[in-house]
Amino acid sequence: MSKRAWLIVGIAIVCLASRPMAAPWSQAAQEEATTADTMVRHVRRALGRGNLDRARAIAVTVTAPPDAKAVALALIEVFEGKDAAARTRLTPLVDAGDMSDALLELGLIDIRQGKRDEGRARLGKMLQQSYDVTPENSFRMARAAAATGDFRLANTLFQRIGQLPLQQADMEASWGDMFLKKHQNADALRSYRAALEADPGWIPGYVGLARTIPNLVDVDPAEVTAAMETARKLAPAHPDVWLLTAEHELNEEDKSAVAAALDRVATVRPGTAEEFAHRAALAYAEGRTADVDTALARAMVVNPLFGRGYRIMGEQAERLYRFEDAVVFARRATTVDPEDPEGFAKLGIYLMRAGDETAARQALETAFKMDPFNGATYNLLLSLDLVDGFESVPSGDFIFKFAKDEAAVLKTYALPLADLAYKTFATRYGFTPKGPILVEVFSKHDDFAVRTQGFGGIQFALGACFGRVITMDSPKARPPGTFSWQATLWHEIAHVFSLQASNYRVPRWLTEGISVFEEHRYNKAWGREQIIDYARALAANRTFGVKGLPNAFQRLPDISLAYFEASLLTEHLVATHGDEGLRRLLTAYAWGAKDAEAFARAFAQSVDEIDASFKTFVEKEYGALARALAEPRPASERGKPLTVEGHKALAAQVPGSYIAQWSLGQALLDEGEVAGAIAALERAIVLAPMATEKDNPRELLAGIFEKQGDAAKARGQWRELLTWDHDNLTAARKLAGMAREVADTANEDFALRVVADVDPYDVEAHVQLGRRALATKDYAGALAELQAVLALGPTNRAEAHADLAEAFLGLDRNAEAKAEALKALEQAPTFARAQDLLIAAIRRK
Amino acid sequence: MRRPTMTRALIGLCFAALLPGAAVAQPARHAVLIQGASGEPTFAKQHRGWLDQLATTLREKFKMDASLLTVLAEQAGEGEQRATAENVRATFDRLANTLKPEDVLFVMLIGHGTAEGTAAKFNLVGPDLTVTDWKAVLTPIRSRVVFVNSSSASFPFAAGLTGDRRIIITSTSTPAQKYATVFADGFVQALNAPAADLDKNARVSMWEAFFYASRVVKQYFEQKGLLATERALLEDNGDGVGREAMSATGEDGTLATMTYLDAGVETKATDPALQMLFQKQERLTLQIDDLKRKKPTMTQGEYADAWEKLMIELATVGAEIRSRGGGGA
Repeated sequence: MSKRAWLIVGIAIVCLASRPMAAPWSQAAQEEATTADTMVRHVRRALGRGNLDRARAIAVTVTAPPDAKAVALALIEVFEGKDAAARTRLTPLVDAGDMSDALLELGLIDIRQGKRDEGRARLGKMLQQSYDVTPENSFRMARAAAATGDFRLANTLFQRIGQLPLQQADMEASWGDMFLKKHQNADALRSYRAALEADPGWIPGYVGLARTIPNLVDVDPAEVTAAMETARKLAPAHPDVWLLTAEHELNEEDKSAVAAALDRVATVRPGTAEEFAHRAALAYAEGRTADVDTALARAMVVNPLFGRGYRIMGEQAERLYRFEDAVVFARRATTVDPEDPEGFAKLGIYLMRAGDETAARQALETAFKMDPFNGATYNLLLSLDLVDGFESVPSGDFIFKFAKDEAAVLKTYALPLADLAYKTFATRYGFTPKGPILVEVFSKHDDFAVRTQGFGGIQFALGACFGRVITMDSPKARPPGTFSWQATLWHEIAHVFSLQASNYRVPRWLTEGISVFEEHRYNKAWGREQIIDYARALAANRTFGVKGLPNAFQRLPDISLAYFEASLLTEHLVATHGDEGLRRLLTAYAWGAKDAEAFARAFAQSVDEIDASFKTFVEKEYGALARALAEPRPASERGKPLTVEGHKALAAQVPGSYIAQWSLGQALLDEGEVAGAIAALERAIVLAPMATEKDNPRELLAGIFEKQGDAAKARGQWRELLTWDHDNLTAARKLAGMAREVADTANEDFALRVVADVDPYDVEAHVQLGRRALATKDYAGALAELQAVLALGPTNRAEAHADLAEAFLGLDRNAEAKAEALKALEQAPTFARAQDLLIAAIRRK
Repeated sequence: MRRPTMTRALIGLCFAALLPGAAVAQPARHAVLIQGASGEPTFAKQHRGWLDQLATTLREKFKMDASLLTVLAEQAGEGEQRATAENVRATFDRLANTLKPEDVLFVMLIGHGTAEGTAAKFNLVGPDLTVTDWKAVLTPIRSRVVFVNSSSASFPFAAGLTGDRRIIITSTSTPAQKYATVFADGFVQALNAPAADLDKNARVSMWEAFFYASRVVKQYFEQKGLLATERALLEDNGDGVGREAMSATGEDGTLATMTYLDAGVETKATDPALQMLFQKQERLTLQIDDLKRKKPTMTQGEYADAWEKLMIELATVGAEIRSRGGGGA
């Protein structure tokens, strides 16, 4: 799992099946008679329920004073996006009083149309009133305060309201909107739920829930789907529901659905700045540059201070991994509306992803001064503070940043590995990415998560790539032996190439497929962790195929398998069309092609043809394994315990079943029938040599052989296991120990290499590797290991300095050799070896 | 790594064992190894393994007189006794009458312990002995004592057993550390690991063994990705407050640095030239010690130059000694 995993979480959850919905609200049963006094509130309620016809009917048919009727009709016009008409209708009424609905609505229209000063003046009048603070007036004042940005006052007023007949849901949802705007998501959730409790038909409650829940980790994401579906059923024409749908479809990259949703918005509420901004975002996603400008210009006509329009564009660019564009849009948002903290916050985030941390800090500090409630801004500033304390290590095309206590060890390995990855990919893809590439390595997973997305909660990702910025977990961020940080680095650097070579247009399945495949190309054990799961899925006909892969990346439960299958597809494409074919494919995406067109351009093949050949490839490579991993017993029999005789019978009946052979081996072992167990486990290994789960056949065989005193065979099993299970520290340490006892240097070195790579904080592994390198006169290799030893703080400093002196001497770096010998002698003045090294170093000088 | 402060006199004493012709009477080395009640087969096997390795090391590597090595085990083997309170008391009664002040008594407890505040026990077979009981059995002992309690909840033993010429090592450093420990494994490893010899004098002092074992424990937990549930303490200055191996504070360690379980090396040279070289080596060593003390009054450059000069001289002498068969670390 790697980059972008965090992004899909929010997206994938809306695809989950919704839970059973509550019975739709029965409007008729709850309607009270409308009077002249309550008409405006009834109209607001009907609109809040998405019932435009009823609102119109009330406004037209109920007998009421002309001013009240005018306000009611203006509310309907506002709902329909006819702000100009509403303004005309309301303007003559504003002198009626400083606490009137007309004044409030007109002030809100001013602000919506970019007449901020006028709006503030009007709404300010309302906020200066201290008399007649009825719950209704408090609600008006709260809305006015929120609209003018005085959120503390608004909150105080909302708190004061209590019960509000006819408007309880309206008030709760408005309060929720305020909380959501100020990033108080838990409070927003409570308010929206309270709104829906007060009125299960209140559409802004559902819309608010759907926008809030993705920000909360402890709420069932299925509630988003449920809220959206309920809202659509209750108010199938409500423009806010369709605007929400458009936002979600932009996330899903379903452009036709976005267009359809925006058309539905425009059906009821045409010509709003929101609609134009989202149309601009869609045009941007489709590469229609001229349409972007046109749509944005139209939005600016509606509201010249509509910085949010550029924020929407920035978010779209962010979705498409075009962070430099996102920076441009967000910067424009800050110039269009310099009072919008969100613009600065987004600008800060995008600058961090583009690698400009100095400018990011400036933007985030501005945002934080304007809006101290934004947790992501605060977290990112903390993250920048943290990174400021890191050691910066420029190296070729990279700038690495490591925590100070990790730098000395990690740079020893990370720098040459990154350099090799860069050269490998530059040659393979015939492409030089724009640099420098910033790589930030975090000792704590939560720090990585905050740097990556502004808040914690990334569960599965080990690294992330934004094109020119890589963030990742250091080996300290997770328990040793649970991942390979080097594989992560290799994976993320591959993303740099696939993202940039495709002008950030590579689809997710391909960029992940390339990265996982590149892991495997470099190290046969990397990128193959899912092989058994995949074969089982293949046996159960649960794989995705070429057409199903893009959607599999949207479903959280399928993500791991999708990564692996994407890597197989990449492998197949490379096997069939070579690296040149892959380059052509990336180029096709860079031109804006989608899968079908890209396949046609790169391979002159259709999606169906690729799908068919991929199936053949998968069958050839993994068909036998899938059959070996298929469940040997019918579903009705699985789980029932078998006797040893039963295991024997099953294994004889389905000799090609890994499960049957493995189970037989375990059963025989339990019974003490060691010879039979060995035979069965060896058959299981032949059927699935890459099995690495707990008590896998190799592990069991190694234990048996060790007990039998056949250490050589035991070592052989551990060694084989490690060729598949590359981060199994237990196996590696076991093999190293067993090999050391009999001076089996080949196996010991192999195992120690695994240990040092996976857990670079194991000092002893570096000591042993360094000394072995000294013994074989590989002084450069020794130097790397021995420098790591000193960085980690060796148990025996005198020996460590002496070792290093010997390495320097071997490299003819005599002054450094002398210095290290002296350091050794500082620890142990009579240390004979250090004395000899000192003399040797002096003589050579 | 911060190492304990050593006085000039103590360094001299350490080197005395290496000097030619210095017919220093070797103190008698006694050891009492006690494996307590294990509670379950896994621990029984593990603890017995450590006990056996330790006994073998003392006998075979350190050439300890078998008659001076007492082993009390959960399941007593040949030549061993059961680890009961009665046998413990009898053993120490016997030793109290045998040990001389210049002798060294090494005691190691392997097993489980329990503690409630400062009241701690080591679990024996049958009734246990509390810290107070252990203090009582040690009181008549006149020799230098190295007492290693490697059991869980051993922390109160540092304050409870502290005393003149006593080195108390506990596997835990707070009352909260009550889980099964692995310190004993590290300690036994230390006595056999060349890397434990920090000053490269070919011997492993009690400080070095404690330091090495502490590192082994630290790595054990790091490699498992676990928070360490034990951190060992060493107390040897009689104030009852121990220090951890990697701690930058604490004055303990001086006695431990000059205390060994091996027999030491008695180097005798008949070659006059070699004798002179040894004497020169001793003089240089004393000059090095002198230079170290003067370091705060010197500039960095002056110190470095002087240090380098002395080191080159010492290295040259050392090489000459070795070429004449005088040995060296």
